[in-house]
Amino acid sequence: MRAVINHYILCIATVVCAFSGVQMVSGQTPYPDSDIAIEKAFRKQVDEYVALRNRLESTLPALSTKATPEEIDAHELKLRILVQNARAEFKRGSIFDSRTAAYFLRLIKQNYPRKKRAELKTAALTADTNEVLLKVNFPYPDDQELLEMPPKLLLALPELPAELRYRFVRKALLIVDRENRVIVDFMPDAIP
Amino acid sequence: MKSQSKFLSIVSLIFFLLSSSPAQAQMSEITLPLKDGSVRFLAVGDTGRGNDDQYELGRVMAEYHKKFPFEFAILTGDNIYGKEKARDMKEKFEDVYRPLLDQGVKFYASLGNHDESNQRFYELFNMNGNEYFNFKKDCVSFYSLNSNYMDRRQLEWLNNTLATDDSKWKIAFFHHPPYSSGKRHGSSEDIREALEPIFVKYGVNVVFTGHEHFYERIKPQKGIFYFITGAGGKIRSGGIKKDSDFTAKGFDTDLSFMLVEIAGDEMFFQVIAKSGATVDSGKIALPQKALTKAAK
Repeated sequence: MRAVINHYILCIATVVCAFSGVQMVSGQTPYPDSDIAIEKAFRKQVDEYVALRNRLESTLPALSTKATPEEIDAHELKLRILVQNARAEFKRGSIFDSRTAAYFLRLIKQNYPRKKRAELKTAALTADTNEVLLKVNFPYPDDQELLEMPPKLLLALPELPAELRYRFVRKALLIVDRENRVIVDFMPDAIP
Repeated sequence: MKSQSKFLSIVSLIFFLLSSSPAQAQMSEITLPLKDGSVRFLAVGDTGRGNDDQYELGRVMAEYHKKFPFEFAILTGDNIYGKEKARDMKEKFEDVYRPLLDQGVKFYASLGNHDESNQRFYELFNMNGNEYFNFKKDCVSFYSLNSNYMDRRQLEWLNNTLATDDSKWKIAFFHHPPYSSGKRHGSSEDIREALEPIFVKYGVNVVFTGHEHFYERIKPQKGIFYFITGAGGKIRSGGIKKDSDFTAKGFDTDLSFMLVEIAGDEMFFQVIAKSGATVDSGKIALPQKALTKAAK
């Protein structure tokens, strides 16, 4: 009798999960098609940002590969202001919506062992990033540390265009523009 | 009369201070062979603080350049700490190494965890807009890597470039040490896991890194010689574990830099402290396998 009840509970839970979009845990990959859709949507949002920032950057004089520090400063600041103005309405979650965040959490968990995640969490919490304000469209301060991204994780996460970088700040995973340092989006509690 | 005596005292004091500066007081003999046509360079990391110690080490470097005229320097990252405005580039880099820059010494940088990506545009870092790049000096091929963001793109580039590189010597430099006896950071195992198989496969001979604020020569690992030369701006005194199996030689009580000379099949190195003293020196010979391959 108990086995029958458990069976029904499991069936009901499965149906509820399927309809509510809740992700299965413990390293299962039950919905590969939905994963593909999530990643496609993620890439679309990322590509849209890159298209926008590249269009804005094309309105500025090109930065020489033999630039002076003053030229680098000026270019960075002008590009940042252009991007910030163009994305003034953007809020957190434009790229890392709840489904994408859950997908990323699963990728991190599946591809980076528990021990490594614990080390990463410690490193992220002790890094010199206290002054990074976790706000979309805000700049990542230039005097704050850029914690190294583990290569294994970079290989597991969807690859970003060259203009963007993943960065861990405390427990959050950020997407940052490497040239104007604008925080494009972030997901909190990204190290399971 | 009294004012004349005071003036003489001040002059004497200035003379004493100048003559007792470490750069002049304790210069070591150069143990490097200074062979004709050799490749000569300086290696240092974690420099960009703009503090008195960094300036003092810069003066010692300039003194040694007179004895050992190296053509270029490699920076193993953390080139600029804190703010990275134009003023900082001047105070934490240009002013420190002005005597070397004026002598035509070129600096080739790699990026550390305190470096903005935009440093790749800075003319004096010779990165030509790239976060990772390769350059050659005679028979030596140098790979500046960005260990702070070792993504698929960079790994593919490294694989492809090394695959067609038939240079006799292949040297990589970057920030995070694959092997380290540091109490604070220790070995960057993730970086080791990503890079070591590639280095072994394509015969990278020597690796220079920083991140740890001391000097350490690691016992050869899988045939590769690793050096940590991250004491260019601040020392982590007592930062090396005493019982580490990795250490061939460690020095963690003063700032330091490395002078390197490659002549044919041999690489010579001499490590100089801020005091001017030599704290390590030696010679590395190319393995026979590499010699055979390079000769083909």
